[in-house]
Amino acid sequence: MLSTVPLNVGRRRVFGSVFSPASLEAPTKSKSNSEHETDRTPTSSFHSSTGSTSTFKADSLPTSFATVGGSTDSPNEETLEQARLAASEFLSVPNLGFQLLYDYRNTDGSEVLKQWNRLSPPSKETAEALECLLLRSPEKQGLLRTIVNCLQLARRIYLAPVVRYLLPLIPTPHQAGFLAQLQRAFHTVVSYSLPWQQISPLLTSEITRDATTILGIDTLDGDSDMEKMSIDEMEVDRAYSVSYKDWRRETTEGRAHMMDEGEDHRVAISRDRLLAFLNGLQLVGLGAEKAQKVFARVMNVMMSDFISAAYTGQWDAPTSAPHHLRQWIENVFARLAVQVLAIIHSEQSGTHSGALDVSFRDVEKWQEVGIARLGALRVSELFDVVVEWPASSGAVEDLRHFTTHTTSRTHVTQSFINMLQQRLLHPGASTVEILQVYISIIRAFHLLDPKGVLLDRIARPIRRYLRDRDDTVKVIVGGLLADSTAPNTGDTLAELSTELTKVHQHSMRGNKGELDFDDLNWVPDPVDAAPDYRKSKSADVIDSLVSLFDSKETFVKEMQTLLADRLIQNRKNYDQEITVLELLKVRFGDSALQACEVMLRDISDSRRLNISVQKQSHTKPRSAAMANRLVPPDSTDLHAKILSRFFWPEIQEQEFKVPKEIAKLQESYATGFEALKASRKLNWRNGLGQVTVELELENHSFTGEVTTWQATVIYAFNSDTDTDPNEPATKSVTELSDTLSMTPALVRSACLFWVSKRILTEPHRDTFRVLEILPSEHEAHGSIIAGPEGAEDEDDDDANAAAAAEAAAAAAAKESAEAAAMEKMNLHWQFIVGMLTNQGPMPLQNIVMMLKIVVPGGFPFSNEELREFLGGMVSKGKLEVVSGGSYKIVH
Amino acid sequence: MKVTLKEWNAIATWHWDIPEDEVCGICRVQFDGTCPTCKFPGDECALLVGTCGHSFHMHCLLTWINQESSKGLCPMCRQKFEWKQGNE
Repeated sequence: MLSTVPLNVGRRRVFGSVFSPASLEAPTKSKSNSEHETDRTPTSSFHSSTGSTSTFKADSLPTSFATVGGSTDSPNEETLEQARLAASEFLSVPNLGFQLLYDYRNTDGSEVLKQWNRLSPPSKETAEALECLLLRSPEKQGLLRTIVNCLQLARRIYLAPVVRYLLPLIPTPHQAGFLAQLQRAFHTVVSYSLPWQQISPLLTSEITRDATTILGIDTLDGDSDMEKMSIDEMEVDRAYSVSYKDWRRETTEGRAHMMDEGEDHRVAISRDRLLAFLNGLQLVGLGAEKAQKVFARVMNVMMSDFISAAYTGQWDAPTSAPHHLRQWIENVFARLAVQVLAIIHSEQSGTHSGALDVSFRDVEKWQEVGIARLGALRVSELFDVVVEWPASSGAVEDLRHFTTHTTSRTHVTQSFINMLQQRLLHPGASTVEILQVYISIIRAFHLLDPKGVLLDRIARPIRRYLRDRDDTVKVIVGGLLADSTAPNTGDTLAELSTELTKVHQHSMRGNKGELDFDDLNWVPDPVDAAPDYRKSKSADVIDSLVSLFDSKETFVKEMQTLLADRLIQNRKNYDQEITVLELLKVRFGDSALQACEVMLRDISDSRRLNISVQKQSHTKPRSAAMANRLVPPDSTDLHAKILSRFFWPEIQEQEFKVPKEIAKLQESYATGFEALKASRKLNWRNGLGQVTVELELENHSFTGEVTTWQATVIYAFNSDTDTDPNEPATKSVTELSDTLSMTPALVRSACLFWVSKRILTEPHRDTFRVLEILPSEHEAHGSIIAGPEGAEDEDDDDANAAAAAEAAAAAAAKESAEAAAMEKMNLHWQFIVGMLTNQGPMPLQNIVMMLKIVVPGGFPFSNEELREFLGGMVSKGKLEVVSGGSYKIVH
Repeated sequence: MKVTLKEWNAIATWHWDIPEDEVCGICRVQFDGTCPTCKFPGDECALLVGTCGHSFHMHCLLTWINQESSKGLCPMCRQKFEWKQGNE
């Protein structure tokens, strides 16, 4: 501050010559003071230097800055004004001149402070005023603009007399220098009195406001609103638009002129306003480098804003976003930059020759920056792009411009992998979803990077994760076998079957990889490829999925299980399965899928066999007595599927006795089979298969396909023999399970199934009765009141009953599966007994470890399952638990 | 209630009607499976039941019999191998 004192002395001299001393001696609160009350030590020099402003203010603008500053709606305006007055009064420096300071220069200063009223604490009122002002930041809107306007006026007031009266007195060669000196003095004062830290955010917001309009970003943000409006105001033809969507709609010629012609009225106003403002800024000395810096910062933000506003979600192919962006930068962005930089040039290049501050190379650089930003935007959107695939291929094309450097490629993969971890590879996503996204990723990245390096890197975490999922194989195989023509239900990957038919010809050729020494188009692997990266020639989705697993065996095994399920179903033909199998054979080779082939062959053989067996039984007169007695005239058709047992996966089933009539039929069928196929016998698998039944009741009937056990159970209710036809048959679960030698769980499940079909009712727990007369809704309600014990089942609606039946069936199936698992475990029991006998008591962990080593083909059970099994053995008294949780054989 | 079973689609598995252990003495594959050269079991890979009581996959045994060193003997019991004809 001290350095400015001589200057101020000089300034005062000038002032003195222009203004009457009285106006200087009348200290009103200075503008700077009112702006920055925190500045508690305004010096006299400071005070006097802004005297001009004060004068001007007192004369022409009676209101304070804040009022001018445009806070129009504040109800506290009056209070604020008062607060400001009180505060300024407290803070203002009495205009006692420099002489006083000079006199007291050798004292400790307290005398001066007292004299200048600096030591007395503020009154309560003043304190409140200060608090009010400091806590409430002043309205910023348009504040800077006002400041600049005022400063401009001040500058004119400051310079006008000089220019008019003093300049002619100075010899011409010195005129420019003299003026420049004065200018510089003024600028220095301004920049001292207005701290840049506070001005720069104001300037930033000021530029941002207009630039948003000029660059067209505001129209992009409210796009949907604009469209609604534009329907109403269609007469205003907005040819000028920076919107990417509008631009795409235009023809090629239209596109070229879209941004440089027919500028919007609103934009023009904004532009004029901004340029005028910046002009003022430059004149009062707030321009130059500092303002350029702020401007650069704003433009930087603007470009990002524009890109995200214009291109987010615009993924249509073929993309022209980079083209559009280049054009925007050249015509709109660079134009503004040129205009602005022409105004706020720095002092050094003060003699402005009209040459552009912005060279063409700068524009090119900006375009590159823009393209990189677009790439960054696309990277952040990449996950959504992939999910939307193939509707979003344009976005991937944009990204291709971006992934040209090694670092940007790393960036793409890194950020994408992070996104995957966050959004896809967690337990909340179903395997089908993950696989679907993976397929999209394969396709999208194949387009992005045909060499497959990026895909290779991104696929690793997905593949690792998929391997850990239990149902991955199941989903893949299910997808392969899915009917691609059926509507997609969302829980199958039907896409795979389409894919299978589509790409299988690719895999036929050129799979020699690196060993193909005749490949003249060979190029080394890209630099950023992983060491174990393998080039895959095509974006073969199936190959990628199948190669998830180390061996094809898991895959083939699952294929077998699924195929078995489907082949056992009663269907007209199995063309779909045959086709899929043929296509898979191309991939896997014949031998891997041999079992599947045998399965298909079994089914087709069985069909032929059926016909010939039936023919045989018709031509060869069976024992007439048997035919008449046991087989009713509308005899049951028995069709059989005869399986080669070593080639089918083990199918869980439950044993029970089929109805006598069916057993007879099976017997005669077996005879026919043995006659046709020498020295072979049949084993019936009664738990499997389908039966078409027809039920006739008093006032309703039922026809449909059910499972064999359901048919067997309902057949037991058949009332044509020993029971009274008027008395509905009633049977208990135990009774049924004894006569049919079926497990009670299965019987119950079958009965519940029939309850859900409203054929049976359950009057008491585990006792079922035929529902001969279907009660109407009204009667049903009556029976609820009448028979409370039947009520709970009666008011079950069909859905509930069906659900119960399903649950019961599931329970029965689980029971049988558990029994099968226990059976398997019993095999291992021998190992365990031997181990515990020879080596003494062992804890669970050791037992598991040993079993894993010893059992051929690996020990298939988890620790928990083994613990349960051993627990069962403990309760049976074969084992006991000794100290430390070890198991010991009981002798 | 009258229950009519219109159609019964049953599932069955077949096996060779032979009393012995189920593995072919030559290829050590179950009889219900196929010999190493065949793809489909059953009709295409028939069994030969010898009079000595030993059975083999037909293809396995024929390969053996056609060798010079076999001298037409059963590989299991070294008796002259003759197979049962038809339904005997």
